[in-house]
Amino acid sequence: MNAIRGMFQELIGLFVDDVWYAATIAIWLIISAVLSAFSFGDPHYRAIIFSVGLLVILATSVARSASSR
Amino acid sequence: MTYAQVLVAALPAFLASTVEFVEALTIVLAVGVTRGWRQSLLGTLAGVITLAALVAIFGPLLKYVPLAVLQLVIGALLLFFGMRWLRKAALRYANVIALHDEEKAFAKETARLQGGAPQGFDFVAFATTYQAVVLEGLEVVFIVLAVGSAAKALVPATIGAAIAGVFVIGAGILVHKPLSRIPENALKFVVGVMLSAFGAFWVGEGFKFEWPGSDLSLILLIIGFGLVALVTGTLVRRAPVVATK
Repeated sequence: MNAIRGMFQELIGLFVDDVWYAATIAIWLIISAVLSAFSFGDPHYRAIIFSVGLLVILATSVARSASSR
Repeated sequence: MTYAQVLVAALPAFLASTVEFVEALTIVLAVGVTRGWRQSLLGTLAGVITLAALVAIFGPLLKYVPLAVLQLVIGALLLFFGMRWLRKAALRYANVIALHDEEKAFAKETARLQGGAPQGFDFVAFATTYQAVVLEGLEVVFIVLAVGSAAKALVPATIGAAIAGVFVIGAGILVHKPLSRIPENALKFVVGVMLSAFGAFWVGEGFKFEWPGSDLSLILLIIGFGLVALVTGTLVRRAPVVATK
């Protein structure tokens, strides 16, 4: 049982390292999905806003981790 | 299949696999040196068979998944995976967390396994190499399947990973010690940038966004992720920390 739990944790660990970071990406994906579903705004702008959002999340997470260690 | 598709699939698969094979090789070497090569290689073989079975089961199934769903699911997974690597690589570049040191990892693993092999079958040695090969190999399998299927270039991605395997194992046999000169963090940085960009692009395709410049926007995404990670890492950079596993 422990071995299975360990493997499962390792599997999750492939995608989630910092919970705050992964949760922010997940929330941004959900917001983008909602924008897409309701065809909100120009599709070109949606692509740009989506990308910029991801870059902001990356920069914020690196800065946040650096300041907390 | 275009050259761009081949490159998009084979290059990240090769680079990421190099990193993972190096990490697995360190543990296989540590087990071989301290507990004997028979169990070390048996564990490796069992790990490779497990991974081959996973590929044989899940690889063909991907053909039946609609492209939009595949792009969205694989894209999202690549985004989580790639952005995790990229964040870690930026933090290592900034000396916020220690660089991964293969020689220290080897020394640590060797010390853990010291104490002599038992009479008969050494389950600890077998399990250690099996787990290392499966876990590191799982990342290789994920990248090959994800990049290969989303770019519709599974064969080039597999070949890229296979070349990395031959290269790392060959080098391991030649030098017979951990490959500490492989610039792991630089490789992880590059792969993190590429996987994050591909992930973002395919998620956008899945959401029916219209990328400015179509496929060319992939290059802009690569530049964007690379620059943001590099600039943020530089801004928070500090004095080096002592390397650990």
